[in-house]
Amino acid sequence: MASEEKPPAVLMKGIVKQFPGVLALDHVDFEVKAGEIHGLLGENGAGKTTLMSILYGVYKADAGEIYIHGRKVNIRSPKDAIKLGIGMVPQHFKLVMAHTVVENVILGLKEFGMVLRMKEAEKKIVELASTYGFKINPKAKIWQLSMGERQYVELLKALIRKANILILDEPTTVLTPQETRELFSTLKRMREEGKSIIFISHKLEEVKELCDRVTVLRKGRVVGTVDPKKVSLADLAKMMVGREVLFRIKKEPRKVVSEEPILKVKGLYALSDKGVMAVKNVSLEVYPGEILGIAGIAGSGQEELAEVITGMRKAEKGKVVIAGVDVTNTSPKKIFELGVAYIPESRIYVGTAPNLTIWENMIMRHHRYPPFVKNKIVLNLPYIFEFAKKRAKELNMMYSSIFAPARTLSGGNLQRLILARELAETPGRKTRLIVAVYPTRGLDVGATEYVRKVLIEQRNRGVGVLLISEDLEEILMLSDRIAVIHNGEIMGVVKAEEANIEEIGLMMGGALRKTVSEKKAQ
Amino acid sequence: MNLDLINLFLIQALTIGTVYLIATLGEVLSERAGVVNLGLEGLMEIGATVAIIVALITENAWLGILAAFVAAAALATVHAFATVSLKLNQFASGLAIYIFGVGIGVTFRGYARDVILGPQALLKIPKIKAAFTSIKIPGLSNIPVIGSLFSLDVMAYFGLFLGILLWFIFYRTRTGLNIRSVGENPAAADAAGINVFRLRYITTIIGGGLAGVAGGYLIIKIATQIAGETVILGRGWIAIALVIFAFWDPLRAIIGAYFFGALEALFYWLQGYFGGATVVMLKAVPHISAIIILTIMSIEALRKRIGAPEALGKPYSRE
Repeated sequence: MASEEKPPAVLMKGIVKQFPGVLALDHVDFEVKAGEIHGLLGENGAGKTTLMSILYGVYKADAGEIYIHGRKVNIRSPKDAIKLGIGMVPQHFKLVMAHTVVENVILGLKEFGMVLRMKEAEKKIVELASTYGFKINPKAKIWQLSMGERQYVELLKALIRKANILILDEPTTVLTPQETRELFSTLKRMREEGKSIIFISHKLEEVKELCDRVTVLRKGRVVGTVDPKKVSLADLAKMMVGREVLFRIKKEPRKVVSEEPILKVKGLYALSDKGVMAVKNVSLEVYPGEILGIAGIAGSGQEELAEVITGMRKAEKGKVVIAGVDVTNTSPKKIFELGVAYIPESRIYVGTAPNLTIWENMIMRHHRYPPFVKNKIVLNLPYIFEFAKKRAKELNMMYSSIFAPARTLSGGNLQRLILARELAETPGRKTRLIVAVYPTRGLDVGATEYVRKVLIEQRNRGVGVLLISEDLEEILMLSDRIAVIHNGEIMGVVKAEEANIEEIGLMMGGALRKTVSEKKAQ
Repeated sequence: MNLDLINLFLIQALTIGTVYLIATLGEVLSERAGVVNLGLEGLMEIGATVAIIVALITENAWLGILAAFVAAAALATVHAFATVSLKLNQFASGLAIYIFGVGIGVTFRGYARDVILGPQALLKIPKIKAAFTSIKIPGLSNIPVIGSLFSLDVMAYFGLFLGILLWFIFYRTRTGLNIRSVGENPAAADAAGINVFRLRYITTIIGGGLAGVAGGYLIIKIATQIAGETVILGRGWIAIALVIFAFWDPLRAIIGAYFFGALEALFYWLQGYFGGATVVMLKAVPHISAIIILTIMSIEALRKRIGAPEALGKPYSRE
């Protein structure tokens, strides 16, 4: 722990940042002591990343002062920040996949000469890694590494530039629970070495476990700085959201029980965009009235799996049967007609056409069928406008007008628009299966709660739900059964009430394979 | 076939191969940093025109080659401005450079021949060609058959040297790592403090300049008169195809360029035996390769499988 005489590693005073239409930061004071792990907690849009971008020189503050180790500084670019010993591990890694670890770490450095002294660089990297208690093969290509290892490469990039103030932006999003634990012990070791760490997160448990102090931001303002050991999770959540938060969504036991699966996937293989096999021999079943959660690190083949099921990607081998109909390599249209609702990973571009209006997006898949169309060709506009307004109201959408382009909606409202469309029932079509891919990614707490509630509601009325999420909490909270995917293969299926986070973590990392006992869901 | 004929064939193959090599290396340099330049054909045509005019006026082939570099580099600067600064589609800009380059190159060459240079200029052609007479490496050049490999002209040696140099720069130096990183993931390079825009400008301009050199070398080497029509004959397109066949590797580009040089030389020889049909086939090659290039470049999955630079063809802008 830092002694009181030392000046704080970081002191930001009265930081103001105005973006067009929003006051992103409103006189924020932020202090990180030397040698502490300081959590920066807040919802999406609370201003965490903006504040850190100012510290790292990506943005310039409209007002306010920054002191590093007690000295007033003017940080105009990331270069200035690096010179001051500030390092950033971005949420989306900035690594060259085709290059080796060394090549990535020394990129932009001058100390290894014009003709690069690779051996020397490799040695230095291995030494640096062992100082902080981890191992890395400097000659490995980035694409061969796990997400956890890639994070270490980003850390090494900062460390080799002699960073003593490290900013980690949502570092655990892509990690398995085991990898998270390893990262935490590395970070604690860095703290012992006297480094100051800023840990940006919205995961309360992690902040509580790791951080010495936490600053909570809400809507661009500091709510307070607290010792997380002394406050409860509920208190932290309340600070973050501004109201009480339900940690558990009430989930009734399954009511609708059927012997017939609504979705049956058998021996499925599919290629990724890069042409490598991303889905390997996947077999699973979703029954009416249950939520089957698919847990796995992002990029393990779950996106491709969802795309094959919804007809957006070709199956190389295997079968997809929906409601008893073999739909393998048919078309999204046919699958839609069978009552499949698709909540895609990309809300913009796949989920909506951002430049089309809200009403157009609302009927986009329904527009072929009556009553949306008259005589198979003319759109029934009065009916459509009525429908769009009705659905928007039913899902509590906030919007200016149904004639506004969809891109004007916030993430949460865009997701509501997609739900409104996909779950709309028409005379010819009832929702029977929902394929939801990362449905709450990037949404604020309110919208997240709402989306989860909708999924549970649909389940309760007998719809089968295939839920793909990287948020293990979410999977555990919502699912009736959980399938774990690793590197395109299903490692096992467990019942939610018997699920053990430890075991799921090991399966996500590919270390444990459970013999799948594909029992009929009870 | 006697040894002299084989020697003649090899020299022809290596000469054409050198044209391919220099142009291909220029494109490799540009594409490694993420900029496709489909205007290679046009840059070579401009290079040819400027080279022959300047060489004949100054009676110095090297000044001609230098001028070709500068002229093509200038036109490549337009491509860099359009694609790096304005972030326009690289294909569209490249095709515009191609059409502009060939059109202006051919027209201006005809105009220069008839108006600026006059008929007596033709008499100077043998003089400037002398710059590219073969240099026989003592001893080695006397070995039968492979001796021709050691009796090449300066530009052929330059091409080989350039290939090896580029390989060394790419894989052994800091600048090379910067270039490769910019072509793979400009955001990562930017975060590491590398000026993505400047680097892409430099590689595109030098790469384009090299295409000009290839065109200049070609026209001076083969000229008996000043042609009022295209002399590049689709070789620019083949050079772009060669970049793909070489998997963006300068050393493989050397092999590929010489192989295509040999193939083309073979066509000329076959022409003697089979007549016009082979010429028609030869003329089709650039067009076929252009189709192949556009197909490969457009299919994301295919590009990734053959190891194209990840950010190839994509303009970079900071978020």
